[in-house]
Amino acid sequence: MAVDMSQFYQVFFEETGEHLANMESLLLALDVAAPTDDDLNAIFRCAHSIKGGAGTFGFSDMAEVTHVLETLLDKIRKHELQLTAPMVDAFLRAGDVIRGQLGAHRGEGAADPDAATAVCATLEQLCDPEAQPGVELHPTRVKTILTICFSAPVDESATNLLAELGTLGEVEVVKRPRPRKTAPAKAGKWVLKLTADASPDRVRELIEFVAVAGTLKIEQSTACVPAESSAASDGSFGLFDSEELPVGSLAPAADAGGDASYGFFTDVAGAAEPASAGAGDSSYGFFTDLPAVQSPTPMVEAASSAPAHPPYGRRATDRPDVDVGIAGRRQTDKAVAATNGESSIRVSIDKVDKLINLVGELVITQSMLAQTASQVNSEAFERLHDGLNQLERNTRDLQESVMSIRMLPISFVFSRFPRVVRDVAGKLGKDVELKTVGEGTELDKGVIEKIADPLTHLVRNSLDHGIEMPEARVAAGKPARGTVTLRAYHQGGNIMVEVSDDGRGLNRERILAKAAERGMTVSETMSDQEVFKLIFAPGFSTADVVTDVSGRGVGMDVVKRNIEAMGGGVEIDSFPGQGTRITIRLPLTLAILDGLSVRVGQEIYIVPLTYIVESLQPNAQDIRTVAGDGLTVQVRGDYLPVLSAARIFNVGGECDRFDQNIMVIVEAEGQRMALAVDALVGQHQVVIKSLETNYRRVHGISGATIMGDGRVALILDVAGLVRLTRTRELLAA
Amino acid sequence: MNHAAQAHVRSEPIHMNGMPDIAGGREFLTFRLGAEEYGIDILKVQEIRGYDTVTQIANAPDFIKGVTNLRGIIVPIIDLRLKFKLGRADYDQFTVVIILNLSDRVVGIVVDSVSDVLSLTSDHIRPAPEFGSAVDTRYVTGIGALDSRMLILVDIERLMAGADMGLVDAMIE
Repeated sequence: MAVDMSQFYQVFFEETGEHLANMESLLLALDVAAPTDDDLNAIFRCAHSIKGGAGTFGFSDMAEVTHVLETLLDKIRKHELQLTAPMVDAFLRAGDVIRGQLGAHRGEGAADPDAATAVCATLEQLCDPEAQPGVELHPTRVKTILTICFSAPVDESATNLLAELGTLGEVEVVKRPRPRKTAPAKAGKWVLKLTADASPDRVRELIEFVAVAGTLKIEQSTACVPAESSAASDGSFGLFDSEELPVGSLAPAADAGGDASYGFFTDVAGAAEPASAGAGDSSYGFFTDLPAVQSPTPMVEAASSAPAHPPYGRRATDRPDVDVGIAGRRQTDKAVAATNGESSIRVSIDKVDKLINLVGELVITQSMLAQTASQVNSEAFERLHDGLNQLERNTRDLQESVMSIRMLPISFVFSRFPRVVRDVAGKLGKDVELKTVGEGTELDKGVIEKIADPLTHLVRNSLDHGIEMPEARVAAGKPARGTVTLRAYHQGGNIMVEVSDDGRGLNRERILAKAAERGMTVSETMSDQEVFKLIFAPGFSTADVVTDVSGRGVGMDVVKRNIEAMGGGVEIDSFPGQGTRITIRLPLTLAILDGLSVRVGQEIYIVPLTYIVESLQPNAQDIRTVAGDGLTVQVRGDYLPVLSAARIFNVGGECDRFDQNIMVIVEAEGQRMALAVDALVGQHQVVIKSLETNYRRVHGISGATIMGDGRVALILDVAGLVRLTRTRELLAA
Repeated sequence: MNHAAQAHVRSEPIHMNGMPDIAGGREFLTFRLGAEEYGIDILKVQEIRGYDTVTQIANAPDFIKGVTNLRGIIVPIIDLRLKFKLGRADYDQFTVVIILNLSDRVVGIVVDSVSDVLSLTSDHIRPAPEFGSAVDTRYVTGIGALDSRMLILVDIERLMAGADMGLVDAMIE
C-alpha cells in the first residue's frame, strides 16, 4: 500500500517540537540531586516519542541521537546510573541537536552533523562510565597544531585573545613578552601553540584584532588525526553497505538501512546483520547486553558519515530501483514545497477554546436578550424582534461552525498506521495486515491529537508482542498473515477506538510473575481483567528483549495516562491464542459534555450522562442501612451503595429522607452506585470549564460549567466518587 | 487577559513584592475591612464589581465563598472579611468584589468597601511593625501613612498564593 507520508511530516514536526520543548522545560526544572521518578519518566517519554516518530518517518539521524539519549535516560530512570549535572547538560545539548536536525528536515537551514556526533559520543560515555575512561568527550576529527607568532602589547586585549583562543582548543604560550614598566603598551613578541580543529583563517581573524599589523605569522604543523577517524571519510562504512545486501522480501532495502542505523550503535558487526536477517531482535539487544563492545570511536565515525546522506531513507522505499540518495533528496524537496503550500493553518487549541468560550457567552447573552424582549410588546417593537430572531439564527450558525473547527475524521490518525505496521512488521520479520474500520468517525481535534501517541504505542505493542512469527502462527493453525484491526465507532456519547490483533494474547502467568518480581501486590485469585490492568503500571514490560519497537516498558502507562487525562478509559480483552483487543473509550469532544443537571439543596450539579445508568425514586423499604451507617438501596435485586450528594458536598439538602430523594444510578470503573439528589432538573449540553485555572482541584468535581442563567454549576467526577465509596468500604472493612 | 495592565498603562516595571526602591510613587487601591484600611498594588486589580451569586464548593474553608462566572471564566471568590475575621459578612447590593489578576490566576475578593486610589511615595511608607506571632505579617509589606490615615499595605499576590488560603494545591513557597 503506497501511502504518502509527507502529509504527516508537518504533524510530526509540530509534535516533535512540542516534545522537545517539553523535555527542555522538564530538564531545566529538574533537581539534579534528587530527581523525581515522575519527571524522569516524563523526560524519557518525550525522548521515546521523538524516537518513535523519527523512526516511523525515516529521519534516521534524529532517531540515532534520540536512541543514545533514550538509552542513557533509561538507565537513570531505572536508577542504574545517578543523574549528574553534566548529564543534564548533555541532554540539553542533545535536545538542541535534535532541534537543529528537525529544522533541517523542515527545510530551515542545515543540521550540524559534527554537533550530533559530539553529543552522541558524550551521551555514550556518560551512559557507560567504565568503558574507556581515557576517550575524549569531543571527537578528535582533524586536529591541527598551529604555531602562531605575532607582536602585540601585553595588556587586556591579549588576555582576551588567549581566552578566545582557549574556546577553540588548547593554547600553549611558548613565549610571552615581558611586561615593561617603562612602556607597558609597547608591543612584544608572542609565540603561541594552538591545538584545535579550527581553521587558520579563523585564528587569523581573531589575532589580527590584537596584533601589530603585519607581524602575524601562522604555521600549520602536524595534523594529529587519530588513525580510526580516517574511516569517517569512507562512505562505504558498514551502514550503507547494507542497502546493497540481499534482503528478504519482508524488509525492503531502505528499511534495512533504517534498521542498520539503529543497530550500528551497538557494534560494527551488528550493523550489517539485520539487513540479511531481515530483522533481528538480537541485534538491538546488543546495546544493553554488551555495553563493553561499544567504543565511542567507531560510533562517532558512523554518525558523522550518516548525515552525508540525510534523506536517503525517507521515501526512497517506494522506488528501490532509483538511485537512493538522489531520489530521496528530490522527494524531500517536494515534500517541503507541499507543506509550504498547504491551505490550512495550525492554530493553538487555546485560541479555538477561547473562541468557543466567547461563542458560548454570546449564546447566553442572546438567550437573555430574547427572554427580556419576549416581555415587551412584540407589535410595537417588531423590528427589535426581527433583529433578535436574526441574531439567534446567526449565533447558532456561528456556534456550529466554531464547534466544527475542532471536529476531524479519525482517518487523520488512522492513515499513518499502514506505514507504521509495514515498517515494524518488516523489522520484526512478521507478516501483518492492517484493517481499518470506521475511519469517517469524527471527533474533536484535541482528542485526535492526543490519541495519536497512545494508538501508536498500542499498534506497535500488538505487532511486537501480539502477533507471532509466521511459522508459529502456522503451527498454531492460524493463517501465516496476522491481522491488526483499528476500529472506531460511536457508542453513546463516546467514541470507541479498538486496537485488536489475532495474535497470541496476553500471558496471564507471565504478567503475574513479572508483577511479583517488581514487588507489586498480586494474587493468583485476581480476575483476568485485574491482571491485564497490571500492564499499565509504569515501567512494566514482559518483553525479554528490549527492541527498538517496544519492550522498554514505556507505552502502556503513557497510553493510560494520556487517555484518562482526556476523560476516557482503556479496557483490555484477551484470550490466549486468539488475540488481544484494547478498547479506548473517549469523549466525543473535550469541550462539551452531555449532562443531567440535578439539584442538591440550593445548588445545581451536572452528572455526565455517560455514567448514568438510570434514575429512580426508591421505596422506603428498599433502603437499608449496613452496620448502622452505610446505606444501600435495592435496585432489582442488586444492593448498591448510596452516596448522598448533599452530605458529600456539604450543601444541606434533604439528606435524611432518602425515600423522598431521587437516586441516580451511576456506573464507573465497573462499579455501580446510587447518588442521592434532591431533584432532577434537566438534560443539557454543557461547555466544560476548568476549575483549576483559577482555583484548585476539588475532590469529586471534574470541572465547572456556566448555565443558561449565567450561574456556575459544578460537574461531578463520577469515577472519583465511585473510588471514594470504594476506599470508604475498605476503611470500614 | 491582562485588563489591569491595559487599564493602567505605566512605563515603570512592576515590582512584584518590593515596596522599596520607588522614586515616583506607586498607586494603591485602598479598601476597608471593618475599621481597618488596606492598600494593594493597583496593577493587580482587574476590575471592581458587585457581589454576584456564587456556587458553593464542597469542603472549602468558610472564607472561600465559591466560584462565580466572570464572562465565561470561573473565578473563586474569597471573603477577606471572613479570612481576617473583620467586620460582618453581609451580602447586599453594596457588597464589593475586587477582581484580582495575579500572575497565574484570576481571583475575586470580597471587601466592605473600596475607598480610593492613592499614590504613595517612599516617604509615606513605613516599615511594617512587628506584631509578634498574633498576626501573620508576612504579607504586610509596610504601613502607608497619609495624613491621619493608616493604610496596611498588603502583598496580595503572596497572600493569595499562601497555603492557608487553600487556593492552590501545594504551597508556593
